[in-house]
Amino acid sequence: MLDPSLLVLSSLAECDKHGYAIMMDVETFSGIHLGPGTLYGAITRLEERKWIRALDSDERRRPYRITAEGRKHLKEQLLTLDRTAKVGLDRLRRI
Amino acid sequence: MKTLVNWLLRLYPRSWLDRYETEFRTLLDDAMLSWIDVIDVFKEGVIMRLTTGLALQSGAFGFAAMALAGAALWFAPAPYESHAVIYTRSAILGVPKTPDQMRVLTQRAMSEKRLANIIDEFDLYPDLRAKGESEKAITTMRGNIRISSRFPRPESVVTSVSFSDASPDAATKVTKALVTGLMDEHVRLEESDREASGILPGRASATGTVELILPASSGELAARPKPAILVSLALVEGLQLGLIVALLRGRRSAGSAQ
Repeated sequence: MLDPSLLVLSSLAECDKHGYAIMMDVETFSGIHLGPGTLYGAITRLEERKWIRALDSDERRRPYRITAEGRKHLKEQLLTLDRTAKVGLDRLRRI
Repeated sequence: MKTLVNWLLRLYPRSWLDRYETEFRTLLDDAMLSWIDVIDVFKEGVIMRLTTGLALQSGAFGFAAMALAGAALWFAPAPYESHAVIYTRSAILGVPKTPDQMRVLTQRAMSEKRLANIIDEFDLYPDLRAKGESEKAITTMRGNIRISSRFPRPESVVTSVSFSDASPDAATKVTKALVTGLMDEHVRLEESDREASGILPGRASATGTVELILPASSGELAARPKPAILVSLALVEGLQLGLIVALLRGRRSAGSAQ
């Protein structure tokens, strides 16, 4: 149910990573497997919105870095998710 | 599986491949691909296509097809249709009318010679005849004739005849001529059945009936599919065609880039 873009941003919040590293990291911390197409679809959209940027690399694997705007957006989204999760869990406890 | 994924990359827009192809291929080489990943690569390729030039190209084809359908509806002559119904009851008890008999009878009534006579008599398809394409005129005429039979009882048959033409007058006259031909054939069939029953005494009963229960109606506008439905269908078909053309073009450009 989580937006792939959010997962990619969360992964890059730790450090710069290339596609395969992002895929592995997301699977480790969330248990969600991002398919190659979905991952690069999310990377494309995030780069278009300037929430991440590609770093120069001589290798075939190109690393990405989260931008300041990307961090701001990630924080807002995670806070909303956090509030939603708290309310949802609280309501579930009352049943 | 790698080969399949490489082939699926052709779905991705050229501009996207220019930017991401190298690193995306590297990721595909690094990852242990499952069938779910292959489907994922396919799905994302289709989404990217739909959100780039593909939608535009398909839309252009769709609108072109819609415009063509609209123009065809606007300029196509309205066909007029006349129809008649014949009722036939056999005079021979226990000898049912069969679909095969009706098929033969219909073929005789629509024989090349008979249709050619009708075409001459009512001056149908003058353009084709002027070009000496009499056979084409007969084929066209056959396409405009509808004859169907149903059997309310084993010994009786109801035959519906209709003919459509751009002229309401011609539609009526031709339907009348066709009905006459069919009734003649029914009478002939009746006579041959009667002769056959002579071999088996006691099977002939009262006289049979060949009756025109609905004379040829005056030519009326034939029922046609609603324009909105036709135009919508053309739009859908055009979109599909546009999608195929766009995918083939993408495939060719991806192929030439490799």
